[in-house]
Amino acid sequence: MSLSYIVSAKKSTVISKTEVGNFTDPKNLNLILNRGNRLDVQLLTPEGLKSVCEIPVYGRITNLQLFRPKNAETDYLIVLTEKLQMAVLAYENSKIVTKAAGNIADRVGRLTDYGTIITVHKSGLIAVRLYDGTLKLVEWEKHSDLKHFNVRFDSINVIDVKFMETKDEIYRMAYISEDNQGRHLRVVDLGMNDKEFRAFSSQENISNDASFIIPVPQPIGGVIVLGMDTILYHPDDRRNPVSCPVSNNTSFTAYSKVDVEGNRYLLSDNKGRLLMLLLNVDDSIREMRVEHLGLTSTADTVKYLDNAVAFIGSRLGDSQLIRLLDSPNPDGSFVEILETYVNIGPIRDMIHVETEGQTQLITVSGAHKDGSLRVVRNGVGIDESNNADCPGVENIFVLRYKSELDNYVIASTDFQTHCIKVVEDDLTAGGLLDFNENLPTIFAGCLFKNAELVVQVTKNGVQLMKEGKTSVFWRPESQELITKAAANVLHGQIVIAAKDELYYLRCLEDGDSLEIQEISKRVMSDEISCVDISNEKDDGSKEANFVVVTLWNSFKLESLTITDLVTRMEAFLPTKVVARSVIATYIDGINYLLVALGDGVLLYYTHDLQNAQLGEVKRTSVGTRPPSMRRIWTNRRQHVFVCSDRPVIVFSHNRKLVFSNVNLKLVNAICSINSSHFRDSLVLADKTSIIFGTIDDIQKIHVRTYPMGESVRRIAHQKSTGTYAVLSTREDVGGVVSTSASTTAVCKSGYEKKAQDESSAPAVSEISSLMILDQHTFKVQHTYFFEEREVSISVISGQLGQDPKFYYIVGTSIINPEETESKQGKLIVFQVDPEDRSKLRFISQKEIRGTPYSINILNGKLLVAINSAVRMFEWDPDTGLRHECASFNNITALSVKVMGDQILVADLMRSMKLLTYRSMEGTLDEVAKESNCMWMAASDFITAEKVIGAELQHNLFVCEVDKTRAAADDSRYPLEAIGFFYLGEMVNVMRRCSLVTPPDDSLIQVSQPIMFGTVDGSIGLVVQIDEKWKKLLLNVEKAIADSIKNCLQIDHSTYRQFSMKKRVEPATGFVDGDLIESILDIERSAALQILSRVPASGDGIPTDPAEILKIIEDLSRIH
Amino acid sequence: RCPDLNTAGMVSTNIARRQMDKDILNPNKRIVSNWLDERFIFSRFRPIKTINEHDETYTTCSFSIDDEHVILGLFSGDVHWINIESGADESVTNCHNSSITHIEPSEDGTMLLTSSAFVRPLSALWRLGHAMELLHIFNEDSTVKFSNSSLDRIIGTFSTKATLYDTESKHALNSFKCGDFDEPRHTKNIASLSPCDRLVFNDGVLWDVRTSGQPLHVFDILKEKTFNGCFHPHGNQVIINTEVFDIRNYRLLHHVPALDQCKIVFNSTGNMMIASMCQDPDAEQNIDTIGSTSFRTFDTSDYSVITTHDMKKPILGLSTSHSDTMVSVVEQHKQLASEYIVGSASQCKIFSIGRHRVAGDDDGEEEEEENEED
Repeated sequence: MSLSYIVSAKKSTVISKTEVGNFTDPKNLNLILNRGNRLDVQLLTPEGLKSVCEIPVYGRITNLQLFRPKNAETDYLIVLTEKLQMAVLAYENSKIVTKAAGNIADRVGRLTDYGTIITVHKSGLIAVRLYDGTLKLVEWEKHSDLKHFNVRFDSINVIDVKFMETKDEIYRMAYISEDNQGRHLRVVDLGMNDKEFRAFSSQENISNDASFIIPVPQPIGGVIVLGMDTILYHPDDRRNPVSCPVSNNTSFTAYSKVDVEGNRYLLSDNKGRLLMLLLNVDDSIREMRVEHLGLTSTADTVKYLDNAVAFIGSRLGDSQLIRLLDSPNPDGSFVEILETYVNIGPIRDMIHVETEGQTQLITVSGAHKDGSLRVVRNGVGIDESNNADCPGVENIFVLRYKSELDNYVIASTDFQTHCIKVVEDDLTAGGLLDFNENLPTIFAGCLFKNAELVVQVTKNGVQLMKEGKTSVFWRPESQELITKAAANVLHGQIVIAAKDELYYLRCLEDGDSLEIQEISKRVMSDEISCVDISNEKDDGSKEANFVVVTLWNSFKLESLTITDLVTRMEAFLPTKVVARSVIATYIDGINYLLVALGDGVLLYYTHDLQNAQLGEVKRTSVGTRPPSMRRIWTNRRQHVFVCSDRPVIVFSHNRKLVFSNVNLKLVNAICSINSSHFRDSLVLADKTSIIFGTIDDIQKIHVRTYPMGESVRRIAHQKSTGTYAVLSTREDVGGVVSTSASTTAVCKSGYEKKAQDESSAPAVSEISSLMILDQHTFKVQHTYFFEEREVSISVISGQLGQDPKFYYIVGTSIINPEETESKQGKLIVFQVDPEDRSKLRFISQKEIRGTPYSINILNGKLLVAINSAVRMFEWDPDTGLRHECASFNNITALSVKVMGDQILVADLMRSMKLLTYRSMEGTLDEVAKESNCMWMAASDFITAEKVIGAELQHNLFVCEVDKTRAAADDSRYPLEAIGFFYLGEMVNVMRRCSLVTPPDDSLIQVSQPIMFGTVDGSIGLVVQIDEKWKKLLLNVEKAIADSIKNCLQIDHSTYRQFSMKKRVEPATGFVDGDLIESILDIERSAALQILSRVPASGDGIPTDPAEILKIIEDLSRIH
Repeated sequence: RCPDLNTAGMVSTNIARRQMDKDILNPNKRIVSNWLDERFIFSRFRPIKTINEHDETYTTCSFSIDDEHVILGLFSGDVHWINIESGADESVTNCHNSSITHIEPSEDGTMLLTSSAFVRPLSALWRLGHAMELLHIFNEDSTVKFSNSSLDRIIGTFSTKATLYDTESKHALNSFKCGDFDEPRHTKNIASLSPCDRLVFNDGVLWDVRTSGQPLHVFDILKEKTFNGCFHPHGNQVIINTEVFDIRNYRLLHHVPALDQCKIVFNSTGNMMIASMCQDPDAEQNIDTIGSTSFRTFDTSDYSVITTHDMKKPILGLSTSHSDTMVSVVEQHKQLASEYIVGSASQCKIFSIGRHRVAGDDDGEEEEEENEED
């Protein structure tokens, strides 16, 4: 039985709860963000938000609340998790301190539908509304468990409850209750002796969707109640309430007090509008006014910070830091967006695409106006700072001419050379000395420390130049054209390759004259394809002492001493492709020889210089074009950059080479630059331009956003036509066309809405569509609109039967709101014109009786989950789809996955089962079934007999076909649950794929990667780890868990235990990769200390802490 | 004028729409959406098995804690364990000498309580192992039930008196009987403990479990014939025949005529319940006592009827499985024989919850592997 290693590739990005206060210091204003299982503490500075720390929390955080305890100088933070663990945290001496913690769950009671609410009285009394009909009061003392008791509300359904601010020390609360008559506002006093509420005042039948209570600070007092049509002010004495109308259907989502006195409040609604509520106060509230400020992302939380700056936390879109303006900007909005925090959640669908060697995930994220597609890649990012049009550059050099810093960029195309002067960020073309700009440059550089000597190598020869002196010129005696050159500029060493001749030159400045000395010459056995010079530690400040060449036809690699060009070592490359670039370098204490081949393969050897020997050859792929390699300097370290259509940077990790993808499409040439403006930067060339930028040191996930402006839901990719198909719905208000993606298509077809009768009120309807997008530009090529009430549900691309054409198959359902289940739907076959992608052909359609929740293709046949059945359809190009067979016994089949002939079906509540397709009989047979009740969210195959599922209560589980137990009468095996894990996030999609190819030289092998996307916007990875490592990893997990105390003061095993309603299972079969890899963030000696407690885990398994740390580092390289 | 109910932003009742939108709902609406999914499941039932292989009449049924077996109580006082998958009769014990009225397995699966109709001992506690081992008899109590939050206590009912026992020592700890009433207020009184085991409900009277002197509250009996009452598993309500009361302030919350004279069973979450007017197999056969031929499912958020499933035959017993996948119903398919005549008059039907009654294959290519009954 193998072990599942689960780790996040990208942590959650949804922000739905935030708090503002003085947490880290009485003088600091902090914004605290709920990031799922972490607290992110930010500090407000004049430059914006700055991260202070991130606090891991053993649980899914549901609530945050800052409050000021009596006699404290800073605010304390209350954290509550889904499993009802609560903690009171403070920040002292740059550390998080748990003041009190405990579980506040009751044995009985129904958790309310209206959400958990925490409200704190100014005296420090904490009240939590968890269960229907009761309010829980929590008392805490430092360093002890929390004590809690319940007080009964008069009503069972309480929508919102808040402590009010009163003049005297009484516990006065306001709450909204709901009964058959409607919603009512009640103000009650809490008696702490009898633990009962006493009615103070009430207001019956307030707005039917009143859902928020805002306590107004003293001396105004009272509460504001937000409803959909009205805002109500209810004073805390018996004066008359005040109300103010709101434009219809404003469903509020959050509010924030703007000033201490409580005269102004920021409000947000579910359409992304930001409003300001102004109170006109004069001993009491006279009137209230609402002003529209502008649009932001749809906010789940709004927090006013300071100086007209506010934070918008969003679940459906990117979070934003905004500034409120005094006067409107040109588009009439009072909102200026200062910063955007990328959010890829909720991930509604996700596909894995490999194009041009780039591995990426495309997620379908967000909803409504914040709907978007996101391209997620793993790699090193380039921060572009400047960009100049300059097409066709193949080679780039940087000169430091008469300067301390770089000031010239030499960009060579296939025909000529551009000599560009760099002054600040200004680029000017202009010659330099006798620089030959009419030929492509093979090499250019400034020689020696004083940097006044310039050398240029072209095919015709080597030219040495200095201001005020006559340039000297050297060319091979044989008059052969120069093909390659390598140089050490600080010592004036140049090695030239001309056909099969190899020359070693030295440049000198001898008094008044310049000189190029030919030190040695050698004729190789074959034409030279590439050359490099280097020394012991590849240190450019020392003289190079050896040359490496590769030869054209013999595929030979030779290393020669530089002075006499005598071969010290030779080897044959294990290839029949010509080497295009060679580099001898030294990384992390090891000498390497890297050889890039014409087909995009990179070979690498360890290089023993002492004995002139090469180690074993290893290979990796860096694209499809002939790559070239350059040494670059970034972050004060030398790296090798491989230019190609899938550029990579060679790092070393753990004395092993790591090839990190660079988040760029194509790089022809690159060079480091350190000019007065571009500090520690890079200059690189792609097809069309020269780009200046800096580079991140670490490889991480990069996200690119393509806003769609409507609710995108599903995506499929078709390689043959280079398109994506995206299913989407948009709201159409009375035929007013919004500017969402589907309306911008080059071509449109399908249903057209009839012009509306002008007299009738504008009807809000939903329009569902299929969009065809270009895979490079993400521009909408074609939109097909479905009929009213026909909603597109599922889509797949593929070939059917013997038909060689590629189709998109879309499943739709007619959704009538009055039906509990849809009875009608369609399967529609579309074809994108391979010539003109804006043309979409409607090929065929098949009526079905139900909702096609999921579509897949098995053996060229269409497999569709339709309501309670899984059905198989055959394709005939002439007659269309024909129903072949079906399998029933589901409540609602939500997803079908295919591996070989096996089919995995996930049901609404009946967990998972395996079917097999018997092509001879034409039947779908049930082969294994899990018998427990699991409400499924996502699922996939690990192997044909092992599956992973995610359920709605945020747990994961793994099931395996148990063949040891006798099959039932109908030859069905049980599908036995063997792994349980509480993830704390709802998984929405699983795919068998990986963003990173695991390195070959890893100590630990992983297999069967599955990536998953969650509603909270995190991307995770589950891999299988071989049995023999199981014990070690579990021991390591335990050692780390035992050594790290969590602020909730609960065990890691309690945190990760599977819990679904009443059912609790210990976490088994999974290893928490996030916990294990957290050891890489702590100091090495401390990490080794922890790992020294790991007991021996079997034969051949390392026990040395340093070795174990290396294994963990290897694991961290898989995502 | 009452403000109009605004339907915007409400969770759809159509499951396809809910499935499409569940990932963008806010956490509170997701709870509502999950509740509606549960409601959807409890709107359809499909017969998957019929058990009628015994010579005696089945009188009551219950599921074993792992839902692998259905435990059937017979007219003869025998208790059978039937494997649902294979249909094998895996264990039989003669527990009582008259028809079994109540079977309740403990939540940890180690014990079982049985009750019978009229021959003493009326109730017993059993240890479950390879065979059922008698641990204790409750001579007088017509129904015994386990406490809810732990298995420490057992509450027994003898006419209008409720007795609380310690499970370990089997000693009676306390008894609850309201002296104000001589006659039973309920036609079929079954005392029960509240979900938190702090309260006792017995014959229309609410008690604090610690004091048997003074009752906390006496609920009004609004009808002449009032069946028994029970706590709602969520802990805030007590359901007395057709009335639902708030147990915190004793206010009437709902009046549900459809619950009249019904036996109620809850699903695992307590969100849904199934009710049926069960016929008493021992009662004299006359028009009045004939139970209903259908069972109904209710949504306990508002006690609305989700669906009515007509069996066309009188129902004797009703039980739901612990994982919300099955319902077992004992139905009478022949005239009940008198106790002197041997012969089976009932069968136990097991329904799968959430599935359509009829195989939904419109294209007619394939029949279900499990055959439809009827």
